[in-house]
Amino acid sequence: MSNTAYLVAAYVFLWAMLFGYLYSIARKQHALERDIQALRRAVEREQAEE
Amino acid sequence: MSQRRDCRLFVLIGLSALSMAASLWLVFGYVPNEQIMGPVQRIFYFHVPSAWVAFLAFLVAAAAGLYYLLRFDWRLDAVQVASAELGVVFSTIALVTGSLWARPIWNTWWTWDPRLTTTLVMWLYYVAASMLRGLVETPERQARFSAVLYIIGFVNVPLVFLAIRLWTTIHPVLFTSSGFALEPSMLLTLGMSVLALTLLYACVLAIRVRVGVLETEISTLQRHWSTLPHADEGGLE
Repeated sequence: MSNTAYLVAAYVFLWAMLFGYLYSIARKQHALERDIQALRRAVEREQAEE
Repeated sequence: MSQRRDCRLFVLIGLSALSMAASLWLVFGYVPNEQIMGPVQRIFYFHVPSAWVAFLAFLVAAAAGLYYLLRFDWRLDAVQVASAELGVVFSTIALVTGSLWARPIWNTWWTWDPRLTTTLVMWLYYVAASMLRGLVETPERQARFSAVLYIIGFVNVPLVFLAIRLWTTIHPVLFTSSGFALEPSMLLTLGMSVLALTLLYACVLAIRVRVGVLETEISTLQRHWSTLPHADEGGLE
């Protein structure tokens, strides 16, 4: 591996880690949106029964 | 209040993007090659700031943990978890970029040097602390458990910083008693990279804390729902 290839590998790793972490936050947020929808449906069902 | 928070976050994201662009230009378009190491030395401009941000993140996690034990505020739990996570992300970057820099310069991927070893111990501790949190049952105990772990874990952080002064090491010493051992152009580039990654940390921390607070609120609502008498009839789908 040439000297520059290590530099490229380091920068690729840096951005991959950062974007990977941001992607994991985005997935958590999607999961929360699904949970909110489920809660909303449950409350609406409850209100309809009353 | 929420709008003001959104506005502050957008300003922070804007500043972070600008400083990151300036930092990348300085690293790849302005600063000269180091004479002995050549282009691979440019890893330094993100390796050192990543380590700095990891230290800062673990300090914030410990401070939030300490404050949580005094106030028992859920937002502080979200802050400690988010900051510890980011500390692990940035210390992983520091370890891997350091290893990639060491290979052509020291002719090895890894050596049990005091700085490297203490950094690895710090990284393992925080990874283990984050995993152990999941094994604790109630959210209140999870928060207290994490707070204690993050406060104790921070004891290792100054040790990582001082390792190159306390023991014989091959790791370069950047901050000497006579100041920074760097050329002015290199110092400027390093300063901008530190600013860029610190602002990036602040942005991601703010976003992750919001998600953490939402997670807590939703799980509280779900637990409350499951205790209601009608919960068996129609579960949460």
